[in-house]
Amino acid sequence: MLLQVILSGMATGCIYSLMALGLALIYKSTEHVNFAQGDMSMISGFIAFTFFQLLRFPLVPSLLIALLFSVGLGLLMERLLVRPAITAPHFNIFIITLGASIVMQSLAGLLWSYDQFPFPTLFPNRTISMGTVRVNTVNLGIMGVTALLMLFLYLFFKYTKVGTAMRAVSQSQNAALLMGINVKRSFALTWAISGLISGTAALLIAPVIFLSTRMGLVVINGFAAAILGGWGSIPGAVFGGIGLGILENVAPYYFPSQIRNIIPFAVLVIVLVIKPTGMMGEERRKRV
Amino acid sequence: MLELDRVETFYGKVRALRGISLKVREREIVTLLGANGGGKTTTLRTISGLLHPARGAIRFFGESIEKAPPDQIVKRGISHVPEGRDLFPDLTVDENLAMGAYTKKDRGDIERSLKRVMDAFPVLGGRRKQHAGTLSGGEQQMLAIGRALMSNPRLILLDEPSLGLAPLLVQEIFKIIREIHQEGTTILLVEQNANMALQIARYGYVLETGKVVLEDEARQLSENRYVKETYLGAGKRGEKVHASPGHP
Amino acid sequence: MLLVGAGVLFFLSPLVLGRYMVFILNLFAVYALVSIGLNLVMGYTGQISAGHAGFLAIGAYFTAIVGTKMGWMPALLILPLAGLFTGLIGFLLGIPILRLKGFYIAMATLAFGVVVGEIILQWSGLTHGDDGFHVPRAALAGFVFNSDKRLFYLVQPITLGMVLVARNIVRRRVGRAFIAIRQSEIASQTMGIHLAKYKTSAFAVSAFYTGIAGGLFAFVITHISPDSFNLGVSIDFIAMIVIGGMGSILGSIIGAVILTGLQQLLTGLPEVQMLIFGVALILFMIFMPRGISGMLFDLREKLGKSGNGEGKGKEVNGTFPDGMKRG
Repeated sequence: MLLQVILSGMATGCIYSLMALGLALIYKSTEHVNFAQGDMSMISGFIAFTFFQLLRFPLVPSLLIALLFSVGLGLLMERLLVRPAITAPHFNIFIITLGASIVMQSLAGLLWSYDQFPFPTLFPNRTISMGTVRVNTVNLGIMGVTALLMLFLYLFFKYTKVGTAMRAVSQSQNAALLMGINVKRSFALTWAISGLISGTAALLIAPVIFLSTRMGLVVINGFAAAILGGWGSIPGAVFGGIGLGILENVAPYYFPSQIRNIIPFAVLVIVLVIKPTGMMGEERRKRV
Repeated sequence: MLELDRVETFYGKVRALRGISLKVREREIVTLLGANGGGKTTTLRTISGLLHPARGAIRFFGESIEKAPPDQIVKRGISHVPEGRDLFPDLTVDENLAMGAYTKKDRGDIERSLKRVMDAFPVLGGRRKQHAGTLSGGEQQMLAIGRALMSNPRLILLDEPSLGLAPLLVQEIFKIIREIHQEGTTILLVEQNANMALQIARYGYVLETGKVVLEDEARQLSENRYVKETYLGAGKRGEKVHASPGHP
Repeated sequence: MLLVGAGVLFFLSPLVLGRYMVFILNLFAVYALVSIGLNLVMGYTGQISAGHAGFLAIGAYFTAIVGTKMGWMPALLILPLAGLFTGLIGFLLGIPILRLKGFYIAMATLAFGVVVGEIILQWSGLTHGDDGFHVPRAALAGFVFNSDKRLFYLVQPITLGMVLVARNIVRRRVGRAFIAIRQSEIASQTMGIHLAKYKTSAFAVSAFYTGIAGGLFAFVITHISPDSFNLGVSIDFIAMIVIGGMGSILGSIIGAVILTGLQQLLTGLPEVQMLIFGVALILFMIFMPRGISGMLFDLREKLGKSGNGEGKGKEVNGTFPDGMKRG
């Protein structure tokens, strides 16, 4: 029984991992915090919905268009919102992304209303038995796609020239410049990839929780996951997400069920008070 | 091949370079001396494009580069080894070197550069998969220089290669610098260790508070009283010697 | 003298204005207090607080609950108690949180704000949860403030008093310490400013102000529910001080007035409201990070060029958390 709960928790956890991953990527490369990560997700979901439901496109092309859009959204955000303020303190960019989050939510509300919409699923909704556990294929699908995406990203960053260059930029912008790396383009790419990750997250989760303009709030779970795993750490984002997902699913069995809502916040506060660097976080010493 | 003409660079509102003019001829080693804050590092950073001069011109083989972005400057053949090495600590030795060759497309060229670096720094050969942050100081300096060599530059800007290294290692590094020079690379060297710098350079400039206060052939500079007193640690106490621009 | 005249006019205005306008003026005052409180944390010490709606809620519910259970207590006693209670919570919260890095503080305060909302929702025995709480009328020595116009004479003097106090805080040594902290935590530490002490007291004072604002808020809108204190409200507060101008008392007031005014103008169109706020937030942060008061300050400098070279030390604009100086 517990295993069952843990398994479904892992699926939600995957979504949190994706959120946290997008956040961690941007933070690691640029030291910026993107509060709008969840809302980018939400908009991508609505784009897919628009093409599929309203314009009657077939499912797979709709999803692909949405993914393409999410990449474009990331690029757009970097170009319009981050680059003009690039020399300003990180505080400013954080507030700007806060503003972007609000703008996206309100635009979505205006364009699509605040209702909830059912979203089609790519994976057939069946339950299969694996030994003593019964797994829902949708959850399996979520975990599978997440794993695939992460594998792809891992290979990209480790073995391609561009990916290695992006890692270099996140370690020393100055040195990267001296290598002839176009740091601006590297930033744009980071945001583009983050956009792609958030788009994927939307398409995976929307079938489960229904599409709505409030979906973007999942970014808070993303933050909690990233902090739990260690803010700024990529593997931390992954493990933190899965951990948070499992925690959220397991807790209602031992605590009153209302606790489910507060779990990400409780986790946030507890981690910050006890061990701010999380499970795998890094201490950055500030040089004066 | 490199010429700076009355270059002025600002850090915010502070004028760090107040009209620097210097020349580096092909296949030379030229050194910039001076105390900390004198503008030596700023000069290199202006050349490599990390900073843009507010006034003045920089010409490389006759072409203006003062407005060029850093990646353009690397492509034209100038490599900068920054002060403190500034390696990519979580990338391996191999990956750092690969980044050095970022602007090169030809795999053959890159292989050749790699071989050249491995020959010059055999120590690195055994550490290729190690993270750069875990290397010793001397190895890091070698990697930094090697990384700059990967783009096959015609001119290398070297900022304080001896910083933080034990004397024996300093000797070693300078031996390698001499070798690189002999293979045909021009070097512009910034050094606090004026002794070593003047030994291998042909020409030198002394920078103080953003201005060139003295310039001469290296041999002459090492005989110059002001230089000896201020930078070479010799000279009688209590006697004040002032630098005069130009020749002693 | 112009100021005194304007002041007199202002205090006589309820005699001339309609009930709704007076209500708005009261709202302006309440939000101005919150703004000032938030500015003490964000503008002066450079930390982000994304949960100030939580303090507002605590002040509001404290006032409502105490006012109901101990109806004999005069308003002028309940309010400071609400402030102190909220301030205490702010202080206790500040201790573990403020030693963390800026981003973590933002997250922790965000969590705080949401958790407060959730607690209010769940503890319905005390707070009536979702249904909301009907706030008893403020009373003082037999006089009941049972109309907006009457409330005017409770809300505005208190607000004015607290604004003046805030101004004082900012000018004296404590205020300068706050600014030094914002400019560079590391440098100010070397000067012997005890970082933790100042940051925590700034946070506590900020909570105190917001708590009192909460009490006044409760009296003004007469019916409170957890919805009035959610994350969106906290973000509204941030928008207020960004647009008005961080690190400036005048800016806090300007921001509060503008945003509250906009809100009232656009009631019934919440999406448009949000859209405008969001766009404004972005545009200001990119192009006018010092807010409207910063712009006014610049203007005054340009006009008064013949005067002393250094800006008058009154408003401290123009510097940001983590030390980046502008202008």
